[in-house]
Amino acid sequence: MKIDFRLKEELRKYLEKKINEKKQIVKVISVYPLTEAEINQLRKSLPMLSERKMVNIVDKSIIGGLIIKFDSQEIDLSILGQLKNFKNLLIK
Amino acid sequence: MESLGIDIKLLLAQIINFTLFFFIFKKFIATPFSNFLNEEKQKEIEKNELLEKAKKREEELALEEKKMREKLQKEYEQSLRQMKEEIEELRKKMLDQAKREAEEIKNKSKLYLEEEKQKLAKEIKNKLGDLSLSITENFLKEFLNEDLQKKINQNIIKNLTKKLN
Repeated sequence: MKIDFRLKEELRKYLEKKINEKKQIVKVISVYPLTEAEINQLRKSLPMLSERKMVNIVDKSIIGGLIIKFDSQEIDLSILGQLKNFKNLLIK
Repeated sequence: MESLGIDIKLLLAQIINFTLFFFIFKKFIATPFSNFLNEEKQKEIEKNELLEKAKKREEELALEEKKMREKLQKEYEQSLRQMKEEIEELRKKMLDQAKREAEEIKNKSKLYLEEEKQKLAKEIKNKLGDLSLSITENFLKEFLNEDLQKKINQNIIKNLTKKLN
């Protein structure tokens, strides 16, 4: 099937836009919903993310702490992550 | 002569008779018989010669047979010795190979055992880690209330800049 060139271009632009939007989003995973004050504090602590949109995701399985995801990076500050690191240390 | 009692006629007749008898005897009896005897004698000599030749040949054959038997015996002994040597060599080779194979199997088994041991140790460590993690997780889930969670988060946010640097 041949796709029309203009349609193709539009599709590409749309996808690029979507990707950029997604790139702009910072995901913060926590055990309970973060308050506005906490989010603001977080923005202050991470100046490079201050302009971006922050989305708070609640996940009780991380036990405690936070996980911050942006672009292709992940900052794991959760208790579950620490425990897993500790377990890996034990195994080694 | 007559006075001596000899009858000339009779004597003559007897002489003739004797001569005839002599010739006839010689021609028809003595000579063939003699020839027969000679032939027999000759045959006997030939027979003896043949016998002697046969005897000689028999001796020669016996000697040859003896030599052949000795030669065969020697060859047999040599073959036997050679075969024994070959068997011994083969036995040694097989023994060496068996030893090598046994050593190889031993080493492989050792290696396998060592690997299995390590695998088992790793598995035990893993299980222990999982168990410890699970226990700690459950404990922390029960222990951490919302206040504590908030304190932890505050602490993390406060130290975030330091951590990232």
